[in-house]
Amino acid sequence: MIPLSSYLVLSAVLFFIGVVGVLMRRSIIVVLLSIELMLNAVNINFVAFSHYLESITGQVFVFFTLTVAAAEVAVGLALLIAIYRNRRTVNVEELDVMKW
Amino acid sequence: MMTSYVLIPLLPLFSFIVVGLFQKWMRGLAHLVCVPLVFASFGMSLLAFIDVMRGGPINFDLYEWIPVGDFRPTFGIMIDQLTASMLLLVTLVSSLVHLYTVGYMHGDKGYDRFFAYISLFTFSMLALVMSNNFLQLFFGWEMVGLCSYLLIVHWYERGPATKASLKAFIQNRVGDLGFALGIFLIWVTVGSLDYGTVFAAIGEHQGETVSLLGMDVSVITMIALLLFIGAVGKSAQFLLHSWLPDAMEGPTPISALIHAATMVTAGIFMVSRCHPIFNLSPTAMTVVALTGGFTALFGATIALTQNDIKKVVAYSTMSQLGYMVMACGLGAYTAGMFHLLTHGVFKALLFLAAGSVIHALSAEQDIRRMGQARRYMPTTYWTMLWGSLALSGIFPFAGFFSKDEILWQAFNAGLLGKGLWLLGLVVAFMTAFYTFRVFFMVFYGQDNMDKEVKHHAHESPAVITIPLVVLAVGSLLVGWLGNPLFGTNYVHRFLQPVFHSSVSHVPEEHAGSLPALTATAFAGETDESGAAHEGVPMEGAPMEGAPMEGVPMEGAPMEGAPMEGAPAGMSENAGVAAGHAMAAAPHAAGAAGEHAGGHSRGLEMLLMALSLAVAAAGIYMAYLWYYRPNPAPAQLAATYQVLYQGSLNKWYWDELYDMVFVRPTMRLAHGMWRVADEIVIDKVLVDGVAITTRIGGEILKFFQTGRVQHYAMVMSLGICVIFIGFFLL
Repeated sequence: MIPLSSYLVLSAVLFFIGVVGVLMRRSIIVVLLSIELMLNAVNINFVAFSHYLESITGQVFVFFTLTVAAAEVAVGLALLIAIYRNRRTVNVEELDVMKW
Repeated sequence: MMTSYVLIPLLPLFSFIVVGLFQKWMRGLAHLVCVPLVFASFGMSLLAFIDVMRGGPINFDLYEWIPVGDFRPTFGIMIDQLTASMLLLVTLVSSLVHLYTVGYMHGDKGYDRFFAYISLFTFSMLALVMSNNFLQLFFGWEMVGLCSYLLIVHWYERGPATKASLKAFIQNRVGDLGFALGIFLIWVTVGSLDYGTVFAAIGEHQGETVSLLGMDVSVITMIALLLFIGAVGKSAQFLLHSWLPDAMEGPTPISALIHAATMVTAGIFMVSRCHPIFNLSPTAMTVVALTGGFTALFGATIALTQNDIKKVVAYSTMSQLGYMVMACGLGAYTAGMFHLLTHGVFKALLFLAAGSVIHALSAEQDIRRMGQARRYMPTTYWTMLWGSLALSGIFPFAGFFSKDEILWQAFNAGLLGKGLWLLGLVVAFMTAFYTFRVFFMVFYGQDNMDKEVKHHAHESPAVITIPLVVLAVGSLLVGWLGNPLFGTNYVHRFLQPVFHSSVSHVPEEHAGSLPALTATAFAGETDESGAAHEGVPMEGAPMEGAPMEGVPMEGAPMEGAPMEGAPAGMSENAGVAAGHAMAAAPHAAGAAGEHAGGHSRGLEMLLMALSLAVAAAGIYMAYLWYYRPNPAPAQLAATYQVLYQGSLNKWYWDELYDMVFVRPTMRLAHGMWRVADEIVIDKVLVDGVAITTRIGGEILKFFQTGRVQHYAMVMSLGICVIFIGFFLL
């Protein structure tokens, strides 16, 4: 029987990899992927707790999260393509128009 | 019936509102509204006067005004004998001045505004005299001050007028501050501002003290002195006097109405109104008497050498006000009020006549550039002659009776009174002299008018001369009401209820001191006997709670009984009677002192003859020096250069005040402008906020890179900090 803490450690590690990916990587595609990684770290937590607490709610939540994530990726990639068409780059550091 | 009393002040207020609001459309027709209304007000005052004469005082509250907690001041109307006589004076002079203004201000571009303000003034003055509590009195007091300011500055494009108006306003504020403090102290002490309540209760607070700069001062003395500061400011008494002559920059009708007949007498009215308070404080009474006496002398000495016709009359007003205040200070309120009334009439006349001269001579005010004016303006000449005779105190005219009444009361009022009597006599001489100096220089003397001016010289129109004639007749007749020689003294009889019955009981421990002023009036001629009465221990006497009304001390024997009897018999009587009166109520003693006048008619006649002779001497001297050109005055001035310059320059009080108050204030203001305003407020506060904001922005802009990852980094770090803080702390 694998203890709960192992799942939590796995989830934390994945989450931090995601955070570091978001903060460090230049490519916007990798940034998006890192966000997915963070979402899935959360999903692991949900499932682990669901099992541990013997409650189905957590697993239901995971499905919602997956759905939303799928939609988000679709929108995100669409935006990404639009940006690429306009700017000819996927480098985050060059996308600094938020400062006008 | 009540309505007609309320209408007395409301009619002028109504004409103020109408003329004030629709000024633009009036186009010089304001008098059609104002003049009839103020005359109607005069008519109703006459009715009210008759009502009071027949039925006694009227007193009712109209409505509750600004109630706050326990403080529930009302707006009410009280018409007692004192108010009724003031009402007559105010509305009469105001009516005549309204009429006069039609001619005098004709063609002035501020004509309608002027009418609006004199109507407002009339309303304020009426509200002042008709009030039945101190707050309303204060309201009227401030309003007349405001109107005075507005009217002095009528010709606001003239520099001196604006300065004079500010001076009047500021000096009055000084007095009003004292007055307000006095009213506060009354509220704190008695817990009411209603006249009746206050005057009934004030006696119980005798012996109580308040702390002033660490000293314990009798609370009643404190109240009386604070109230008197208000009177000093309003009535231009010494130390707050210098605004009155400067106020002559205003148009002449204003000088007659406000600065001679009505507003400046408000101080005397107020002291008379508050006599139950003043009577309880011998200290305050002495201060009042001395201030008045000194002002009388002070004003007269300055008036001797002034060359502006209005300034002379203004200083004489100051001097005459001093007489009245002196009378009040000696407890002779009736005499003071009598002089107030007669003075109101003949001084208004003098001002209006002076205005008529100025008007005729193309606004010339310097008497050195006048002369022989009687040829052009006979009516003005005659009326001014009557007014001058009245002011000088020549026999059949009003001033004679009232001034002699005051001098006689002073003579009877102990050692202090004797001194003031002598001073009053000197002032009477000066008064006669300077009055006729002006008169001769204007109407006789050398013809010094400019050719141009002379060419235009003319008698004034009827709207100007009619008020002059009415007032001239008045100044001949009014005095006879208070004639002590033949028949009844109507003024005394009429005013008696006011000054005799407002306070019913007064603790006796105080009795010894005030009668010191008046004791001699009872006790006969010698001061020693007065002192003896004073020294008699009254505490043991059983009249502590004796109802004063019951003792027929004041009413009957004084008025009804023949006082002409031998002075010796009177003295005996007085020994007993005076003891009662003094022990029970000092104010009664003071009042009775006024009535003791009858007991030595021979002496009174002698003093009258003396003051008449003094006045005649003054006139004769003026005749000698100014009837024809005469080098004597100039030589005298050259010999006594110091005195002459001092008098001509008003004893340098303006310069002194300039040095002590005005300049330091200006310098302080300048300093505040440079330091507090320009540096602290402008630089540090206003500019400081801008600079701080800008620098803050300059620094913070480095944190805004526009890169999403930096923002995400800051968010992550923020979360980390929160977590660390949450777990560690």
